[in-house]
Parts: sequence; structure tokens; C-alpha cells
Amino acid sequence: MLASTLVVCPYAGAMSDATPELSREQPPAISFERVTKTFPDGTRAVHELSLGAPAGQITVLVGLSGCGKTTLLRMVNRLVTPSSGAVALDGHDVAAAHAVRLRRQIGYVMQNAGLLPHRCVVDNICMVPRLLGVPARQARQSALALMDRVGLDRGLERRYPAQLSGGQQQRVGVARALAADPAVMLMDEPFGAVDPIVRADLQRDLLRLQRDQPRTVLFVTHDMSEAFALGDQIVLLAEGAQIVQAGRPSDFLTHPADEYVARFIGLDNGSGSLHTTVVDGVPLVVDANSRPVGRLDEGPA
Amino acid sequence: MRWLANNWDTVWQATLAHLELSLPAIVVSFLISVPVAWLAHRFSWSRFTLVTLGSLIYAIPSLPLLIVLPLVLGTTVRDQINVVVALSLYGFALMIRAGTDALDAVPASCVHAALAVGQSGPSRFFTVELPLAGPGLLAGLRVVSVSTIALVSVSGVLGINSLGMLFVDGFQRGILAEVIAGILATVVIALAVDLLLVLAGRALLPWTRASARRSR
Repeated sequence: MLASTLVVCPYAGAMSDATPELSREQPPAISFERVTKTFPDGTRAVHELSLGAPAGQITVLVGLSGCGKTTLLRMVNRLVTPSSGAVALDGHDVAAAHAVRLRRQIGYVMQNAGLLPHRCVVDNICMVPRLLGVPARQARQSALALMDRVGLDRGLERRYPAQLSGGQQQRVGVARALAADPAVMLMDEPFGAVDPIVRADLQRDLLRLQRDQPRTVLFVTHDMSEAFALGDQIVLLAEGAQIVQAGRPSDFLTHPADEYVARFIGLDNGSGSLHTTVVDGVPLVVDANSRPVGRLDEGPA
Repeated sequence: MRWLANNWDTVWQATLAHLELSLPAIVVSFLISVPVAWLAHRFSWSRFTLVTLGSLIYAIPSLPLLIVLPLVLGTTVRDQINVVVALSLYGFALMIRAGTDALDAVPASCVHAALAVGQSGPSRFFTVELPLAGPGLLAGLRVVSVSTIALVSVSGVLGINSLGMLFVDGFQRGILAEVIAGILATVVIALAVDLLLVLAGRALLPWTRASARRSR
């Protein structure tokens, strides 16, 4: 309801412009109001979906490939226009915003980093600030500081993307998305193409960045364990972007909505259930096949 | 060798004239074909027409074209402009297909990434698509450059000064050394211009060498 009303937000004195000025201190909530997307070829990627992503939290959209989760993500920065319904940031319909300006205010990390191969690391990171008119020297200084924050060696600043490892490329992708200090971040399977150890590092770093400065993050993945690792909220989607279950990660384990959910998170065959055992006097957590997954710390977590 | 020593100035003048005809034609054909290639790349309906047009132009025999063009341009047959326009047409014909392919080869993910960070219209073309099409455009331009430098010689038949004049004159007067000098000089300047293009490519497209090093 709130999204269907067109709200014109004052934008730095330019009254003719409806692009909301996204506040950095108070990140906006994202809301989908009965959105449907039918592509020209007749595929219905999303049908009548309503969904809210709370401000300052990570909402993970998880589902099998082709379930419409990427389409949903792209509606937020208007790379995809809904056939009906509306997407709003803090109640401001994005359809009323200036598309280019909106995209510059929203961080976007894509699969395989999506870096520009003809620009070196620092120039890739500086893209949005430069588009926004930040002087080159200043943009470079901020980019170097960002490289520190995302765990990239400053010595890599003049490398081209092809000279980096997959994990480093992905870090550059995250740094680029953060460069304009956006209040909203869209992340489309950003860590899908890197090996598990690097992925765990990247996930940990993302959580650290989020703790330092909360942003409203919409994160798409097909990996349930990644959803558990990152999500404040998890939305499990089936084909046509139908919501199977939405809630806190713990809700999925305590109250799986149905068989499908239980199977998706591995509760049905016991792989999602853990128990404790004591080996050589050390309490261990083991899975259904008695393989150890970790140590049980004494006392409250 | 003695002929060359005695006629050094003639060869030098012919070489300069040769470059004066070919270089503008190379530049003009590049500048015209890039926007047209963009049209062919961007709008699928125009692609067939434009690329076919290129092939058709290339099929026109050069000598008749040099004789017919003045009727359109209002110049004389021996006018430099006449030759430059004819050569540009052939260059354009070669470059249009190479240019279209080069723009097609720009990875969609890069264009998408630029769009997603809020880079719009013309600035995206000039800062993302055009540089990424660079290697393909350079490859096309190298073919155009060599082909144009070779083709200039035809104008020698019409009596326009170029290295082509050395073949025509040497052939008519039976001076083998002159013919060979003409051929060698043509090859030398074709290679020299090609080398300059390669060096320009290295300077302007530094990332292509970076990727090559990595993949080795």
C-alpha cells in the first residue's frame, strides 16, 4: 500500500527530481508490494510477491537457480521493471526515481565480480565516486582506504582484474559497491564462484563491515549454509518467486514450514541435525554421520 | 642499387605522396566505420543491410571507381581527394564488419556492470564499450592499413604520384630496379605503419597484455 503511492522526496533542492536522498545514518527498508514480472517471452519470473527487507539488516533471498531471486534484486535498482506492483525504499517508489542516480546510490555486487577488465583495481573501485564527480585524487585516497577495509593489499591498486585471483576480484567488487558509501547493497551470488575457504573469509568480512556500519543488504544465493551464515532474515523462494518460508534463521530449524523446507535445509535426512558427544574428554558437536563439525564451548555462547 | 642511388629523391617523393594518400584514407575509414558499426551492433535490423553494404562496396573494381567518383565529387580524376575518397570507401568496407564484430565481442557482463553502477548512454559507450572493443578494432584497422597502402598503387595507372608510379614507369620503360624499388618501399611503409599501430595499441590498451601474461 505504501509503495503504490508515489511519494516525492525533496532532493537537495531539486524539486522536480523524485530520487530519494538515501540517508546514510538511517538506511531505508526495502519493500516489494505485489510485484509481478512477466518477461516478453512469456516467462513469469515473479508472481504477486510482497516482501519487506528491514532497514540495516541482511535479508537473504535463497532458492534454486531460476526461481526469480535475481530478478527481484534487479527490481530494486531498476535494472528490471516490474510488470505490475512496486518496489519502494522507505516508502519511496523507485519507479519515481531517476534510474541512473538511484543506481549510483545503491551498491551492487554481482556474480563473478563484474569488474571492468580494462580498468585497474583502483579505477574499478572509484567508478561510482568518479561518476558522482569526486575529484580523482580524493577518490583514489578513499579507494585505498577501502582496499584496507575489504582486505586487499594496497600494492594491488594498479593491477588489472585479469591479474587477480577470484577471491581478490570479489573483494574489489565489494569495495566498488561500498565506494560511494551506499545505504543499500544488492549482492547477487557474490561469493558463488570462489572456493569454500575464500568464501568463508569473504562472508566473515562482510559481517564485519555490516557490524561496523549497518546497511540494508539484499543478498541472493542458492546456498542455504550461506543464508544461515549471513542472514538476519532468510526468505526461501520456490519457482516463480513464491515465498516458501520467511523468517529468522533459527525459525527455519525450529519450525520448518513444510517438507520442502525441511528437505532444503537438510533436516529430513538428518544432515541438518547435530548432537554432542565427548571424545578424549573434549565435548564435540557431530552430525548425523558422527562426523565432527566443531567443539562445544562451555558456558553461554 | 645504382638506379636507387641515382633516383633516391624520386623514391622519397613517391613515398611521401603514397603516405599522403593512404594515411588520410585510413583515418577517415576508421572514423566513419565506428559509428556505423555501432548502428549495426546496436540495431539488429540494420546489421544485415550495413554489413552487406560493406561487402558490396568492396566488390567494386578500383579502377572504374576512381574514374566514376569524380562525376559524383565534382573533382578531376587526378585529384588527391578523388583517390582518398575511393580508398576510404574500401577501408570502410573492410572496417565495418571488423568493427561490428569487435563491438559484439564486448562481454555483456561488463556492459551490465556499468549499467548497474549507474553509467548511462554515451559515457558508457566511450568509457566501457569502445575501449573493450579496442583489440578487435585494432585488428580491423591493421588490415585496413595494409590493404589501403597496397591499394594506393592502383592510382599510379592514372598518373597520380605514389609508389605505384614507380611500377607503372618501371614497367613501361623496362627498368626492373624501379619496379622492385616500388614494391619494396610499399612493403616497408606498410610494415612501418603496422608497427606504429601495434605500438599505439600497446599504449592505449595496456590491459590486454596484462591478461595475456596471466593466462600464460
